[in-house]
Amino acid sequence: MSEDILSMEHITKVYENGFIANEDVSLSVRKGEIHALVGENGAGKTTLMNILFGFIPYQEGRILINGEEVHITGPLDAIEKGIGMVHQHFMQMPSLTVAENVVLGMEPVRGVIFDRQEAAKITQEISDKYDLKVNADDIVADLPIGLRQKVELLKALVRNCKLLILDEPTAVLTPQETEELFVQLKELKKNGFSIIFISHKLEEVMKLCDRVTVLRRGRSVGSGEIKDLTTAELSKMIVGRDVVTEIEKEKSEPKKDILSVEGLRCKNKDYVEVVKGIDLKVRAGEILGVAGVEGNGQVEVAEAITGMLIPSGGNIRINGKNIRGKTIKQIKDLGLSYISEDRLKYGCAPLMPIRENLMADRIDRKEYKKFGLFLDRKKIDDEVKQLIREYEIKCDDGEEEIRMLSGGNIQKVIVAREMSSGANLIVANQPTRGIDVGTTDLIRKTLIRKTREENVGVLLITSDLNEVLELSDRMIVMKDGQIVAHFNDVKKVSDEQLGEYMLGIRKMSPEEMEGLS
Amino acid sequence: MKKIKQANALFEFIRIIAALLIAYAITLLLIVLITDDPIDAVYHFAIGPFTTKRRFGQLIGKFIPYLLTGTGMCFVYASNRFNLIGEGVYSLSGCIVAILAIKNAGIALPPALWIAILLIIGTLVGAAVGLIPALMREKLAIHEIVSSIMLNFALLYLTNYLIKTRVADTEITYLGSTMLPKEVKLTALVNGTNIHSGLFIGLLAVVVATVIFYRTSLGYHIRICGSNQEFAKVSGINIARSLIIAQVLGAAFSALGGAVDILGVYDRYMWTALTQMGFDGLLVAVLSKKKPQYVPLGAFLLAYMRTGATILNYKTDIPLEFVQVMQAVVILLIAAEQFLGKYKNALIFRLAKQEKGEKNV
Repeated sequence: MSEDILSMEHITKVYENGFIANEDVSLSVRKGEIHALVGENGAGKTTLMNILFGFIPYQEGRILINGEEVHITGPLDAIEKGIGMVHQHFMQMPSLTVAENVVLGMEPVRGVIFDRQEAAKITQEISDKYDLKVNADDIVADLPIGLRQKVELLKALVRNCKLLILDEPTAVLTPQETEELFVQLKELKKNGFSIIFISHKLEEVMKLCDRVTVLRRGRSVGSGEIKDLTTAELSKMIVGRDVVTEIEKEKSEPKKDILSVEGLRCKNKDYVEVVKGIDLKVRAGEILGVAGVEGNGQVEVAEAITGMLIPSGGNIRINGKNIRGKTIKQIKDLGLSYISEDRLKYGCAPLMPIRENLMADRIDRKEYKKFGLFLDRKKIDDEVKQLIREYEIKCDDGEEEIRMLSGGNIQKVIVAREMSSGANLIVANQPTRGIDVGTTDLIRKTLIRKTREENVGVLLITSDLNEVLELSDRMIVMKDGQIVAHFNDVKKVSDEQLGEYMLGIRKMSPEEMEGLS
Repeated sequence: MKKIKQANALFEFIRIIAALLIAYAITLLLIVLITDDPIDAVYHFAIGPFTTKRRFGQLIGKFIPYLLTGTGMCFVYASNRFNLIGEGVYSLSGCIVAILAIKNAGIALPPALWIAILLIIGTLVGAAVGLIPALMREKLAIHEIVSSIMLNFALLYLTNYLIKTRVADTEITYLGSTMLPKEVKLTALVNGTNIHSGLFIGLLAVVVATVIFYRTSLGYHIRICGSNQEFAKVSGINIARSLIIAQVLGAAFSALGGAVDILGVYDRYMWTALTQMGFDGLLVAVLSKKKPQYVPLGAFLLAYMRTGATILNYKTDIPLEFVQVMQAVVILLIAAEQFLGKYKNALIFRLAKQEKGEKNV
């Protein structure tokens, strides 16, 4: 179509570790429209935009701008071709003025000297033209977040970009600032700009955008006119399951409480309350699934339980003992193990051998020492060998650096360690994200086996609907730091129902959430 | 996988050889440009340290303290801290040991026991001082590079003050202590050279460090903390404790180096400027890839280059500073992880593909 300013066709991107981030993804944006790109975290939105902006190479597919095929070599090239990006995390020098930030890299000069006045003039002109209400001479550090975002927008406009990418622009804004931004974006649209609006807030998409493209698990699962879609339809597209897989499991016979959480409140590092009073319990022999769109407080709950984050209120008890004031090691010794969502940061030391990674949490236990001082090599070797065999880790002898393994095998190492630590509470946060089918299967089956045979309790946090619906014995849904639904019988829950709770369309009353705590 | 591992090891070896060759080539070119007799210069630099017993002795005399400071720096470097206090405690330990030896000349103890006591005191002094920047870093978050370098100068002037006021020799024209008594001298292994029994202490230290590194949970914790602190935290490792011990051990080994050096090579204490031995320890650790078992290689390489430089300095018209340029080139190339990295990656990619192909067949 000639009216398309951008079309990306059949884009495929496979990362070095074999993770397929985009598979045959297509996206087309018309001139003068606001196009929403929606999908959960990890659906491939950021990868696709990074490809468009020239940050990362892609293996297959082509990109057309104004109907012409282009090869974008980097951000500078992208800008030259009229693509501007407003990053979620601002790329700014706080100590400089707005004008200085805006013209950075294209400074107007008088001779060899930076022409401050000219810079201010250019910036102010554009700011006034689109009514962005930014003063060119203000120091960036003094501006509120909303205006700092406008500075980012100005940068793209001054560079004459006709296609603007906004990566979750409202995530950092207050409702009033969001309103104002929407007015300005619509104004830009009238002036012939095209905008790609990345978000997972449905109400905003419905209000602002003309068309939408939905990504799920690296694939484009649909696109269309917003006016033809209802919120429910859109939510189903976003969270729906690709293939429904059945996992066999016996009915759980839960016993005593292993984990009990009462009135948990947490603040994130910006002191914003992200967990707002949560009660839950996990019993021996059951899996409690936590569903929800990412960023609704699930990670903070996991970190509070593991002692990584100090809660601002409430109590957490593991096997009857309150964890308040205890070190991470003491909490682990109460019977906790933790599979983190970020496996390279929290799950392993990439530059160290598999062996060392397998033993990291237990190396100072007495049973691994000779004379109470030296490590018992043979015992460690035996255990490493056994874990490698049991969890089918593909490696020679465990001496190679863990980073040389594939993502799936790295996760097997982590799972092998956490499952063999002797803990009776396992907190698993996105245990199978970005992992191949075989490993995913192994991890899921191990979780079930642990609960059924060894009386372990599992708190499973996942954004994979398949996983949460198939593994959980009970399930809760988190939205905005609160529990909005609790299901005692997961089998009866439909995808649509779940999607509505996850996206905040429905909420259960406390009476409906019977048996939660 | 095995092939890839072998390729990695082979590549590391080739890389170091290539780095040396390139550095030599660059230096050669420069030598040809600035001296009238390039062949003579290259000869002195490359072969010089091995031509006489005395010169080789000088090399080993440097090698011994490098073993100790290098081992110490392995702990610091492996814990991903750049605490340079090893430099300051090197002098301090040497100074304290010299003062004690001079003040107690003729002590009624068997010499071997007295020397052992002196070395232990020197080491403990170093460990105690090493605790200062380590605590400041782990408890107060004061960056260890800044505090340790500042402290190094404080220690340097402290040693000058101690020497000047306690044991200064008024007979000589420069600042130095009086002669060290005979009984504290480490036995010379080869007469008329700097090769002394401290060599065994150095090698023993390498063995001890290797055992701590790989055979104790402390070494394990230090390496995990240095490799990925977040992961160490999740694993329940006491990070502050591990890192403080690593830095204190680093200082202790360096301090032992200073004590051994004073008792092994010198007739009197006369370090009135920073010795650079502590900083060189970091170079040794870098050359040994922070693995204590490789420290003897790294220490030997650096001692060889330093000795060659000294010989070049007094045998030819090439200034010492110039030779330091060459050393820098060698060290840079060896330390640069990505030097020839492109070829390495291409090789590994090919092997991985091959392996995948074999599996599919």
